[in-house]
Amino acid sequence: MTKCGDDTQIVICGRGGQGVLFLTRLLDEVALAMGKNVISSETHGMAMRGGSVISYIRIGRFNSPLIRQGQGDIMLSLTESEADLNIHLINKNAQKFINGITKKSNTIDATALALRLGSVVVANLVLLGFACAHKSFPFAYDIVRDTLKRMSSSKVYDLNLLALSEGFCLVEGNHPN
Amino acid sequence: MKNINDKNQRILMGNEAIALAVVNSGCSVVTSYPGTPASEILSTVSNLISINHSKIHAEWSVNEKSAFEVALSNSYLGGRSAVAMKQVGLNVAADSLMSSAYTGVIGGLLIIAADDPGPHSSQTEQDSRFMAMLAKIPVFDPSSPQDAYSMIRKAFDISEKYRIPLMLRPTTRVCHARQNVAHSSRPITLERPIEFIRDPTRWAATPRYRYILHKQLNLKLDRISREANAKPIIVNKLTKCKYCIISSGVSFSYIMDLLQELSLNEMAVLIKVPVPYPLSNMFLQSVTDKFDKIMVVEETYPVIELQLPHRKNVFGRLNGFIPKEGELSPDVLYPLLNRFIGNKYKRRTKIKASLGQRPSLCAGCPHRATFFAIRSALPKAIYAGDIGCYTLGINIGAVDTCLCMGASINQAAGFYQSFKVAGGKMHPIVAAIGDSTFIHAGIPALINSVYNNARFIIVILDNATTAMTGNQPTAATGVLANGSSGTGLPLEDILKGCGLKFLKIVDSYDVPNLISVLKDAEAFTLSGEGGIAAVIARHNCIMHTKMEKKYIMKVSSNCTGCQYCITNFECPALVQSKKHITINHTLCSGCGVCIHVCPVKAIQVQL
Repeated sequence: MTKCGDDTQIVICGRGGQGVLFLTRLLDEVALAMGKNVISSETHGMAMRGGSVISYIRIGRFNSPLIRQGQGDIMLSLTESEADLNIHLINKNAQKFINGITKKSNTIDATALALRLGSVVVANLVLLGFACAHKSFPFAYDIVRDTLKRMSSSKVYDLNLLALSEGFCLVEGNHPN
Repeated sequence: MKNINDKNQRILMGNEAIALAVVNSGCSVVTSYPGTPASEILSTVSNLISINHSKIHAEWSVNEKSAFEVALSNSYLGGRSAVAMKQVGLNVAADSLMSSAYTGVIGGLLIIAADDPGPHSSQTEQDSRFMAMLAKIPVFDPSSPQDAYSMIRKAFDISEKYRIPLMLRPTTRVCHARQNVAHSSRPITLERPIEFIRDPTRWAATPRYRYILHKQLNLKLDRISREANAKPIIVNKLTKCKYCIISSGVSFSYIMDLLQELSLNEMAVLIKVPVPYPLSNMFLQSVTDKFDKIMVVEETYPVIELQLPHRKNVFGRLNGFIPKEGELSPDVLYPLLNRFIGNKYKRRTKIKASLGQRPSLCAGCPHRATFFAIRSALPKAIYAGDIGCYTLGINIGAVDTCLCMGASINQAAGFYQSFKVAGGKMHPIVAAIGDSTFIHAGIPALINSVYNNARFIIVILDNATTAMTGNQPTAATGVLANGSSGTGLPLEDILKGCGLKFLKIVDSYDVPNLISVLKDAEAFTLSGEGGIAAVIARHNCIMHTKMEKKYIMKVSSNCTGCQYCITNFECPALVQSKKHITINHTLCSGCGVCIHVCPVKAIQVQL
């Protein structure tokens, strides 16, 4: 079940209101479900009002929640500009998954897909589903989906799971069971 | 490292871990005033009460002083209590804090003062551990959510053993970190009477008895410094090593991780200080004598460092080795740790700190409409601002000052008195303050202004919530922490009670009306019989009360691309696109206020 190596450091970034916090909480829970120690950091307060928001997740033998420059293994970014802004946080071999409209690798228009599904707020889950479809991503789709089920209220349950699976299916040959 | 197989583990935010520990320690009264990074503590306690059906009084108090005194009084009667606030909130409660250290408590009292190194969401980087020192109470400095959880039970034991209030000082990176936390499954039950034991020489001590209480307090501190649970901990026993790192709080966790990353665990003796004050003389003396070089890593002020008796061989903030301001992030510590140990390291090219997108008021925020009206009606006024979301009015030039909670009103009065003494034409002055901030610290300020015949306009930005910290209820609405109803105190009644003769209530979205009322208000401040004029700009916070879109907006071809709306209104839904402005319909709340903003009326309602 677990694809997670010993230590993994993940950077999640975007703007206030884009659901960076929800992704962080979701992946924290996924790590715990996988039997890993996890510590993460969130942005609160003034920056939440549409400003730049960044979260760090550190899985494995870590005591502190911040990621040092060049140490991140994975980046999930909900805007292209925030990805550029925080690029120094990840290492050279890091995997990036970005919500955007340019034709760079691993960049998808999660916002447009989320809007088609019914709400822009699930762009974060579209991006996460897309990331899950990659072997380099340390969390398997199934465990992310099961954790998301536990964390979604009945009001958003169907939309959340749809967003995750649509994101996952963006990579050819993937079909959620 | 925790055993991950421990069944009772949950992912908890630091503030949630603190709340759970407070509840599990058997607290019967928990109070708070919201403030980042401490806000989630009381709301979590409130949730836990409803889940467990526990008999706990949890309240959002109107300010930190009230919160402190309500919690303290429960501890006078023998109950366990906790009061949570941000660091600058402790300034508001400082009077009560200083005195309570002398009177002491019977039931344990935990004062949670959350610091904000950076600062991320505060007006200062002040170190509450100095406040503990000034008050002469012990302070615990947790290094992670798990550490905060584990410390709290110990803290209550010490608080009750020595009958002394005690502080927990988490920082932003503890409060807002999330971690798998091992915790006990249920709260302890305290079998103890709640009773008032009359003791006027303690609870009502006059100065003569205060001297005796002070002497007792000093004895308590001396004994606490030697308590097993308060002593510094040597993390790695290295017999021959001559280097030592002393650290507390989240800085300790950074150092642990950096030593591990760099494989430098054998290079320095690492000492964790769970209680930075009081430290025993024996520890302070022996640590300075024993090592050739000592690095002290703590946030934000040099509290441990200043207690060391000799500092010739100490590398810290006082000798400039560690920066005197800002957060001690791992990126800041990395080169310092390497240099201290004499380890060769790859210097990284310095990343130019990019600020990213600045925060701004939400699309549809009623404050934006109010600020636009204030600037339109009184373009030359001094805009005395205050603390809250609406401090972001600075982005559109509608906030000239921001000192601390409630200061807008006293500063407006001060500006008035200053201009009056100087003579000449009266300068228009507007104090803009939110509803929660007004109740927190604005009421005595307004009474002072009325009493001393000041003249200015006070605009209360009434969005019926404490928005910036996560929409906690206010006394004006009368909604209590658990969502039930208390007694609401309408702002207009308070203003009338403060003796104001000019009071108008306007919907913030009704910009033309607001402009005309503000002009009337100015005329009142200038008239012979005039005085302070109050305007309540009222509209619910859009984050709190979700509304259907009232209007679909569009920008007509008349748009000249002058950017007046961007500069003076800064709505996130108005977007510069090539030469013209467009509407971002995803962000747009459909409030329609921007109709009044465009100088050429290009922003219109789509019919």
